[in-house]
Amino acid sequence: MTGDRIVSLACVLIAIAFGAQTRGFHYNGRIFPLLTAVLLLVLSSLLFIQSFFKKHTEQNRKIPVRGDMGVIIGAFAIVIVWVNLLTVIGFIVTSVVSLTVLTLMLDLRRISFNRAVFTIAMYTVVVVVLWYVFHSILLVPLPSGCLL
Amino acid sequence: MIIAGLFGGLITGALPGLTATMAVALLVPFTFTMNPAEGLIVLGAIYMACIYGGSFSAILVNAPGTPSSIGTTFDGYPMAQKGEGERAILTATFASVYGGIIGVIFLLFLSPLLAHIALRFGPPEYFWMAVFGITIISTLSSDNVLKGFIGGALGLLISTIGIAPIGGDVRFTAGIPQLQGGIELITALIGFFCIPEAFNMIGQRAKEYHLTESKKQPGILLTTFKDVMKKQANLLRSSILGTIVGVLPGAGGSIANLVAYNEAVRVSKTPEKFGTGIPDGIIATEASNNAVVGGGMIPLVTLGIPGAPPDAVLYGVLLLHGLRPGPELFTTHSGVIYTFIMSLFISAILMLPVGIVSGRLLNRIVVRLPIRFLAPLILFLTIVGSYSIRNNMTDVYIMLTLGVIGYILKRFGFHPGPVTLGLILGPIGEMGFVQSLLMGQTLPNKWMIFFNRPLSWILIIMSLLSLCWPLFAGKLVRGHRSGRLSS
Repeated sequence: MTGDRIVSLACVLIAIAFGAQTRGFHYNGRIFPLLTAVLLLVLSSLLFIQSFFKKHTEQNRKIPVRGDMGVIIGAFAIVIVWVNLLTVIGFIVTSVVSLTVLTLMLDLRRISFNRAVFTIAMYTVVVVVLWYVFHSILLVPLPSGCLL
Repeated sequence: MIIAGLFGGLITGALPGLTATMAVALLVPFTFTMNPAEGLIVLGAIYMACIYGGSFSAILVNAPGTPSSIGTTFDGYPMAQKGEGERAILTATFASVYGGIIGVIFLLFLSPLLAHIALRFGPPEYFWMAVFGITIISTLSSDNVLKGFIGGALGLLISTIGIAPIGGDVRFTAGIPQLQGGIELITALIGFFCIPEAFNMIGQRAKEYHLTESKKQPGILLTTFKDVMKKQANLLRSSILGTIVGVLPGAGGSIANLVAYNEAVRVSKTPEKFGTGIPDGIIATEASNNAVVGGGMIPLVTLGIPGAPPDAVLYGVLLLHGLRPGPELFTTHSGVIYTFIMSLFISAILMLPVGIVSGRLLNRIVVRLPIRFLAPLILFLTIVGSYSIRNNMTDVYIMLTLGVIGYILKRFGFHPGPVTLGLILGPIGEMGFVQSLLMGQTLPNKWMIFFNRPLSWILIIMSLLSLCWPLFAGKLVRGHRSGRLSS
């Protein structure tokens, strides 16, 4: 199946799910999302049909997967852990550690002690400055935890 | 004071997630100790520079700093990828200054007339304006219009999450109380634009640097200025469009830049070049979004109705200082209001040196910063930006979820532009649609309310033209080419 077919089927399901849920709403709250869901259903169906007639190019023959997907998934996992720990540990510590881990992960060269220390120091300055500007000058609260 | 405001606004606008509304709102308390004119001068400078500053991140990292710079990514980022980042930023600077000046001129001389036109816009006209906005998708996604409209429909559906504007039904929240407020536009913007871009950079870490550094071009400032000034038609048309869209309460820069871009493509002799990295695209979007600053003030100062979200904050500032927005501003407090308008004019001009210095510096930093630092910093700013909207971790999770969806959609050929356009226009379109149906209950057939007003017909015709233009344009280009070949 091509990527177009997968996405069009997913959109059809989304349209049906949204449309079905509108049954419990009053008229004024139902009409617009229902019409939009119908529009999405029609357009997605057209895309699904089009995918059978479209000339098969390398782009739409298969789901495009590039190299380094493992690194992307790893980076995303670090971001998820980072976000979840923000309100547990605190903004500054969690951000400095997560940024450092991400940078060292993306560095193609061998990790050295000096480079790690430089990275930690640089991110500490950046994060602390940003925290100070938001917290003390603009009075915008940032996530806080048991540490800073 | 103006210079400080401009620098502050530039930095805020360049950071994804921090909007002009937020910047103006956050700095209001600092104006309490100033007299009314000084306070308005600083906030006006911040507003003007914030809108312009959004172009920096749009050009350098394909992530619009504000919703007003969505269109700047279409040609700005491809220019940066070709090593023309400095030229793109300078183009954005000159166009923004031009648009800002035109908007202020309209504010100064044409306020009563434009306010009168804005008053004639009712719910049916707002609905058709949203439809016109959606038809722009046919221009934005010329390579696959169907995918573009699917993206737009998805954006419209996402915009209905939360409490219905009329009726109060709680819709599509899956029992999550934090979703009752809906999906914030900024959260979605960061998710759909910044996260996929950060992941793309991570996937290309072997490149080491995100953008190619161009060779030093002596005299680039003067040559870019001359190139931009040669496009007077584009500059003037986009500025006027931006002012007019800004006059309409609730529309704002997020729509203006896309409408102007659409029109620039439509009238261009080489529409196929748009999206590949040409200055005309940046000129259209940046001139229009800065013209909105002046345009949005028109209903504010004449009728007491804010034109754009930052104007709503300025409305509060005026009240705080004892100035009642409306016609009496020009009589009872003429000194303050004319000082403010002239300060906007000066801010637009001073944006030139401030923008040139900051923009070139930022370009050099981004070009020389390795991906292993740039990508994590972008992710960091997205988390800070999405959290600071409502001080809520739910927005961060929503941003990441939308980011993953945006990344997947992008890999399958769906551009985030139409999705965000749907998100922007959804609330405007729904409010206009439902209010029109309520108004239409006085008619024999309630649906006729959409077709019995002259302004509505103007917008209907514009929508049909916009929708069908890519077909006409293709035939015109082919006809022109075959004509040249035969001669």
